[in-house]
Amino acid sequence: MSAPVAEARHARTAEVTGAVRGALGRDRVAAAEPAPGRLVLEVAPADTVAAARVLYEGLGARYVVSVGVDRRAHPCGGFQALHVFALDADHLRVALRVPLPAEAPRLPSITPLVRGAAWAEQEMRDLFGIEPEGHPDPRRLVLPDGFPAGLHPLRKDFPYDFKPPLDAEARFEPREAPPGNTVLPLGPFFPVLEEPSQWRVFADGELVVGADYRGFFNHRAIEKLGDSVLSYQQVISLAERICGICGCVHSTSYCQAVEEAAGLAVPPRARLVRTLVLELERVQSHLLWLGIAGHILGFDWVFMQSWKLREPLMWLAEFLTGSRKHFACNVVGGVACDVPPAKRGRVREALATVECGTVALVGALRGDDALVARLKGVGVLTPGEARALGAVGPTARGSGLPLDVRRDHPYAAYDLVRFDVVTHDGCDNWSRTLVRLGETLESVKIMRQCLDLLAEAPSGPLVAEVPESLPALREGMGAVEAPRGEVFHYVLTGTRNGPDRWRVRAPSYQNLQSVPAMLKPGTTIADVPITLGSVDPCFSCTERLEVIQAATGERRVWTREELAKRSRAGKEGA
Amino acid sequence: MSAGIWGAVLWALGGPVLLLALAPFLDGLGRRVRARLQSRRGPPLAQGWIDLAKLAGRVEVRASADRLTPALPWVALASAAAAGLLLPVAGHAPLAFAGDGLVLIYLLGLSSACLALAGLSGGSPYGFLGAGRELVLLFLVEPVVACAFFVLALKAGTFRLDQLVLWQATHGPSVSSVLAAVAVLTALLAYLGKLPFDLSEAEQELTGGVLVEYGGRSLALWRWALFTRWLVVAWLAAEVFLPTPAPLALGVPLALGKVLVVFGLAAAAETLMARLRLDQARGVLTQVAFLIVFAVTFALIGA
Repeated sequence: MSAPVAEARHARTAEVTGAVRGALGRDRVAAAEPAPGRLVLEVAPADTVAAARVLYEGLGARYVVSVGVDRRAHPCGGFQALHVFALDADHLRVALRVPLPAEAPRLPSITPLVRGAAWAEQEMRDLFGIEPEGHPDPRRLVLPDGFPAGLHPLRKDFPYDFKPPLDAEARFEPREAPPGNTVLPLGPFFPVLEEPSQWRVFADGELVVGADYRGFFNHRAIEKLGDSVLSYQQVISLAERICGICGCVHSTSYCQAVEEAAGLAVPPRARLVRTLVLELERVQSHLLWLGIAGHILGFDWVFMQSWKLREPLMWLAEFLTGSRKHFACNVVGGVACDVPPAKRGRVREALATVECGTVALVGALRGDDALVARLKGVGVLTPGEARALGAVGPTARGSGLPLDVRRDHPYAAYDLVRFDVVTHDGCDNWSRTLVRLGETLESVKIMRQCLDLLAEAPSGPLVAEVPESLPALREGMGAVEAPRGEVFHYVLTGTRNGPDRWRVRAPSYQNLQSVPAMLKPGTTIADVPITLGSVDPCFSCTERLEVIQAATGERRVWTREELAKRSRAGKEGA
Repeated sequence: MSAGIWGAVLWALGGPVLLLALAPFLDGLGRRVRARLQSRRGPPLAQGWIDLAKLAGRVEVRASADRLTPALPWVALASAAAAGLLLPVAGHAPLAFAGDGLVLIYLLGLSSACLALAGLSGGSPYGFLGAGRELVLLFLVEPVVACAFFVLALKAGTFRLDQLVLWQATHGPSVSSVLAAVAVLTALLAYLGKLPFDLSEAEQELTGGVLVEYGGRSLALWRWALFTRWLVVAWLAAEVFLPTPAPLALGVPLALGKVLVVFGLAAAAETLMARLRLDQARGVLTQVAFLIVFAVTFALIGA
C-alpha cells in the first residue's frame, strides 16, 4: 500500500470519530481501529439512528450490511448488532457496534433512514431475535412460514442439526395487489430466473404498477455450519459453494476476513494469483450474463455466441486450477495453485481469443438498434436510489456511481495493476450492459498485467506461515469486487479453530432490493424479466442462511396427486 | 371441365392431407436454420414430427373443465387446413371462387382467434396477457394482408386468387404490387407469429402465454395447427406475392421449394432479432400499415 493512502486513512478516522462524537456526545462513542482502514464505533442502542445518520447523511458513507452476533457466551455478554458502512473515497470501513442485552434484544431500525438496510434488519430479527423497532416490514424474510415463533437458528443455543416441527397451517401473507390490478406471479419457478424466487408483479394490463418479492426458498444453513461445525480451512470449501458462478469471490473474501482477523500477511505471488483467478472469474461471469440477457430478450444468437466465447475461459480455469468452476485455489494465508511460466503462454492465447471475440460481439450489439431499444430507458435506477438501496457493482456503476472495491479498498494485487472503473450514467438496463461489456475488456488487461508481474515476482512460498491456532474473538472484514458487485464477509474468530460468527453479504442481497425501484411507472410486463436480469441476480448467493426449507408460499395448497386427479376428471367430463 | 372437377376433388381430399403431413417439416427446418446461425448443430429435420409424436403420448393435464378448451386446437387445426384448400399453385387454384382470398384470411384469422381464446380459457394470467397480445397483433397484421389483396384485386379487377396470380404474371410488377409485396413480406414474421413478434407465447416473459395451460395431446394439436398455419402463410406469401406461373405438374414442387426458401429466410431473420415489446411491435406494424396505404393509393391511381 502506498504512503498517501495510509495517511488519508488516518486523518479521516479521527474526523469520522469526531463527527459522530460531535452529534452524540464525546463519552457516548467508543472508537477502535482494529486494522488499517477499519474503524469501529461503539454506541448505545438509543444512539444507533443518530450515529448512522451522521455516517450516512453527514459523511456520505455507503451502507454495506448489518450483522447480528450472539456474544452471550463471551466476556462482553449479550447480543451485538453491527451496521457496517463504507467511506469508499477514503478507503475506510466504519462499523457501528451496538451492544444489546441477552434478554429481549432490540434497537431502533435504521431502515427508515437507509432503505437498503431492510433485508439485513429483517434477517437479524428472524435469525437472532434482535428486533429492529420501527422496521416498515413486519413479515419474515428468511424463516419459513411454519417455523415456530421465538426460535432463532443463528443463536448459539440452537443446535446446527435441530429441525423443529413446522406448522403446516402457517401461510405467508403476500402483499395485496392495488385494487383493479392483476397479479402476475414470476416464480417460484420461472423459466428465466433459473433459481427459486417469487416476484408477484402487479399489472394493469401490460403495465406494471408494483411488485412484491418473496425469496429465500432454498436455504442451505451455510452460515450456521461455518459458525458451529467447520474449521477455518473447511469453511473455504463451503464458501466457494455459496455460488455456482462466482465461488472464488466468496472464498477469497472469507480468507481475507480471516487473514485480517489473524494478522496474516499473504505472499505477493499469492496475491497475484488471486487477482488473476478473480478476473478470470469475472470475465466468464459477465459473458455468462450477456448470454442470459440475450436469452431473456428472445435473442438466442447472443446467448450462443457469448457462451461459445466463454468456453475457452472455462478450459483455461480447468487448466490453471483443475476445475472449470469452484477453483479451490484459496487457503487461509494464500493460494494452493500456481501459474508457472510454462502455463502462461496458453493463458495469453486464451486471453487474445476472448478479447478479440468480445470486441466483435460488443460491436455487433451496439449496432443492433432493436436490441438497444429494448434496453435503453428501461429499468431506471437513479443514483440517489442506488445509494439509498446500497446497490453495488455494475448495478451501481450503471447508475453513474463509481464504486469499485478493487480501487476503493484494494485487496489481493489490485494496488499493483492499472485499470479503469467503467461507469455509465444512463441508469438503465443498457448502461448496466455497457458497464459489464467494458469491464470484460478491463479484466483482460488486468490479467495480462498479472502475468507480467508474475514473471517479475520473486519465487517463494504461496502461503503465509499460519499459526497452529488463531487468536480468538478477533474481527475481520473481507471484501471482493465480485462480477455482481461487492461481496462482503465478516468473521469473528472463535475458540474452536473455526469462526464464531461468519456473515456473508453477497452483492445480489443489495441489488435485488433495488429491483422494485427499477420498475418505474410505464414499465411493461415485457420489461420485467430483463430488468430483473439486469442486476445479474444470484439467488444462491442470497439464500445461504436457513436450516429448513420453506414449505410453500402459496395461499392454497394442492398436492400433486390432487391436481392431476382434478385435471383428469375435467378431461373425462369433457 | 371434368378434368377440373377431378382436380378439385383430388385437391380437396389430397391437399389437406399433404399440408398436414408436410407442415411439421417447417419446424425442423426452422430450428436447423436457427441452430446453424447460432453455431450449433441443431435437431434433426424431422424434429417437428418427433415432437408431435412425443407430446401425443403424454398424459394430459387440463386447467379447466369446460367443453370449449379441448375443442379449440381442433378448430384451429381445421381452419388452418381449410385455408390451405384455397391456396393457389402456380396460378392454378382448383377450388377458386370470387373472394376466396378474403375467406383465406378469415380462416387464418380464425386460428389466431382460437389461440387467443385458448389463452383466456385457462384462467392463467400469462394466458390472459398472451391472448391480449395475440389479438392486438392480429388486428394490426390482418388489415395489412387484406389491403395487399385489395391492391392486387384493384389491378386485376377480380378477387379470385388464381386470377390475381395470373394477372401479375402476364402484366408484370407495378409500383403498387411491389409495395404490397414488400409490406406483406415485412409483416410476414408477425403473421407467422415468429420472433421478434412471438409476443403471445414469449417463453421468457409469459412462459408460453396463450398455450401455457396446454400439454400432451392438446399441445401437440396446437403445435400442429401452428405448423400448418406457417405452411399456409409462407405458401400464400410465396405464391401470391412472389408469383411464378408454371404448369400444374411443375407448380407443386416449385411452390414447395419457394415455401422452404421463404420460411428458411424467415427463420434466419428471426434468429438475428430480439423480441419486441408490444408498443414497439405496434410501432413497426403501423409503419407497415402506412406502406400498404401508399400501395392502395398507388393502385387507385393506376400505378
